[in-house]
Amino acid sequence: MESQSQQTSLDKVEAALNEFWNTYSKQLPIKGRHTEVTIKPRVFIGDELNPQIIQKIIEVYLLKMSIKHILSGKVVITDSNLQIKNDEGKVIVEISNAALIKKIVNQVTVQLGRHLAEKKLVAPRPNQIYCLGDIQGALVEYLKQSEKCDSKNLVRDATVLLLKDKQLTR
Amino acid sequence: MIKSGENAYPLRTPFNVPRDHSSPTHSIPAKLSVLIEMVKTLLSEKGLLRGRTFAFVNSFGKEVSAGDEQLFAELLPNGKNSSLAEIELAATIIFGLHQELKNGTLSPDRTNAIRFDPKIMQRKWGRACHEEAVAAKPLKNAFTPNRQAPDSIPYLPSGYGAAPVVAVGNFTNTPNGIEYKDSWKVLDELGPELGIPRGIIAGARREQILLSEG
Repeated sequence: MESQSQQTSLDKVEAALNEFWNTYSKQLPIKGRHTEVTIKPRVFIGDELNPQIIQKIIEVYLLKMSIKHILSGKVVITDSNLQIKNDEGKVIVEISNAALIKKIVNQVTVQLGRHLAEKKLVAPRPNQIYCLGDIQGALVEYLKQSEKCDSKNLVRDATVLLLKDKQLTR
Repeated sequence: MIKSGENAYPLRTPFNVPRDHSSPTHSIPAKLSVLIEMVKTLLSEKGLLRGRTFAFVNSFGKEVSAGDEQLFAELLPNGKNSSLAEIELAATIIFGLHQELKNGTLSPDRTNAIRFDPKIMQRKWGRACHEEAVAAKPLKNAFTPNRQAPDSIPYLPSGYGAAPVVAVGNFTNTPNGIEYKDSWKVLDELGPELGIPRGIIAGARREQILLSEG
């Protein structure tokens, strides 16, 4: 067995990604006659990381993101896609998967609702779940205020949410 | 003499392999890693994998990653002590797949998926394989058409340093509408927020560059 000190960084990354996969993938084991098998993707394919693992990292990252990611512009929702940017503002991931975008937009709506509730712009709900209808008025009011401060991402993202809502009601 | 009804076939034909009906996957997963090995080798030889990934889908619709060879050891815990029935079933499927790929009757479809039905394989190739499995003794020689014992079938160790499972080319997007240019950059940017230390990612990146430069 390889000791901890003998492990290279690649080994450590591989172990960490295997652990990550075990935690977040919901793959059930295949039950064989004599054994149970859990299918795991290989971490490295040539010089690159397995797309399956990268995809899972992106999904988990988006599902764990907070309103800060939106406010800081790390995650940007546009009408056609969703982008993840690095600290320098360079796009590193673009997502066009409609189902995933819808999920994230819903998540952002809830987070915006909580944000507005904290600022007492909407009545707080006991379950802290908000839909766009609940926060639309407050959001418009907030947009007017936030144009004076530097929450440009919120303005843009909230506008996208409003546009999406208009498209839905058309 | 072959009787009719339940005992129409000799006991050891692949048709009489005991089946566990409670699990639709039966004991087939134990052979998938072997199949993947063969598919990789054969398709690489045919040059079909150049610049693309492929999915391996069994008749139950279960997609199997191309990188599962490390499961081999787990999948055959009995190794050479596997029952003849298991060996026959494996040999049947492997032999059939080998022949199908060789003949060109089985190759990746438009979605780069290779679909196979173990039952059809077994039915189609069972007789030939049965003959091989029974004729070949000792037991280890019955395992695969190329007569390798289960624990001597070469499989790639996981991780870097091994030959790539598939040639992935310069893909920038996954089939699920997620696009990126550099997988390492994605890991570098997003990994730390998910609990993977930035230091080991940077170290691994350096090691990987050194390895690729030889």
